[in-house]
Amino acid sequence: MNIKILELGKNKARLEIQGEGHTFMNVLTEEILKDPGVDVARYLIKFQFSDPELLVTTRGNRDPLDVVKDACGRLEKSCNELLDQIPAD
Amino acid sequence: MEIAFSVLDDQIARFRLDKSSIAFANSLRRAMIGEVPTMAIEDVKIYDNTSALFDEMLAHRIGLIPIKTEEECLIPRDTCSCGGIGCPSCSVLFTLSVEGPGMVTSKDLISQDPRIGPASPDIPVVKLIGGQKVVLEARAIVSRGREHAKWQPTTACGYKNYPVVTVNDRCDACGHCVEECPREILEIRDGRVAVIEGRLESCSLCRLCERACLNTGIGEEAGIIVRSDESRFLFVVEGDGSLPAKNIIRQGLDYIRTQSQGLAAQIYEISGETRDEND
Repeated sequence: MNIKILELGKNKARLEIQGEGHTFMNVLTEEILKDPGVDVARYLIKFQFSDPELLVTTRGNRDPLDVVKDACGRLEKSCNELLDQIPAD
Repeated sequence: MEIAFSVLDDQIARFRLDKSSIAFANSLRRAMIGEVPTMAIEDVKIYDNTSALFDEMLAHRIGLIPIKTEEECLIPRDTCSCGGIGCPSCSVLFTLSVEGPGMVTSKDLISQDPRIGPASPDIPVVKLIGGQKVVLEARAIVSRGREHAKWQPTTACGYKNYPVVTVNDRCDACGHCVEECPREILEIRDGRVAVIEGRLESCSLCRLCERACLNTGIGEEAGIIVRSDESRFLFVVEGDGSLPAKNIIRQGLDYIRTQSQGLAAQIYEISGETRDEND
């Protein structure tokens, strides 16, 4: 996966996440929004075939990239939890 | 998050996803349909086709036949070292040669790799009358349902919210809702309407019981209320035979995990670099 930073400020980040679709972006933005330090988390797929653009803004001193990283960590943890519960062959 | 299976065999899995969110449930559903790699026939070389179907139609029908894949036995074409031309490690060749009269079925597709073959032997392709002939060569590759529906490993894959049925004091046990319920999940127990034990999960959230209750002239508010639990989901995953249902779930979850890991790694790389620049 490749990402492109379109804008990066103290409380705002705009990233283009290449090769992703609604499948991952929707769950990612919802997960980011669970963070109390987050103000806005949205993604936009401009045209059917374009890469999604993720916008994250935060409150206070929270770093917008850290927020995304933490959300990824939480998603990974949930998946691991579920994978452990699937009975082995 | 928790997962509890009620049915789990090769063809079908039914499970309850607990302590989850709508976004995660939908993402898992989409991942299972569109992001799990399976095998399907992509290129067809037709040597002889005197059947009633056009070449394109025949190729389309052959493409939709589910191919049973042993996990990780082939790699996607775009990541193969052959550069997408097609080699034994990224594609498998099938031959089909049938003369009429008779029905051409999926078992007539002869695979070159004994580990790989049609998931079901009796899928009809085309009916031939005497003298008609189909001779062709087909190449199957690995891809994802996102590219074309023939690579979907699932036939039915979906979820519904967990139903929450509450009966309040306004209920007078008239039994109208019991009659109305299409899934027959209600009964009258101890002078009150109640859900039959073990049948709650059959509720389709149609709320016909609420309407039946209101139609009795009970007033503004019904005696039975059906709501959905936003953190619990009932999933049905039905495979087409190309992969066992358990593997579909596993690989769907694995997709979400891999994407999260990838994004986190990329961000770590970038923020590491910017930190260096600040120093």
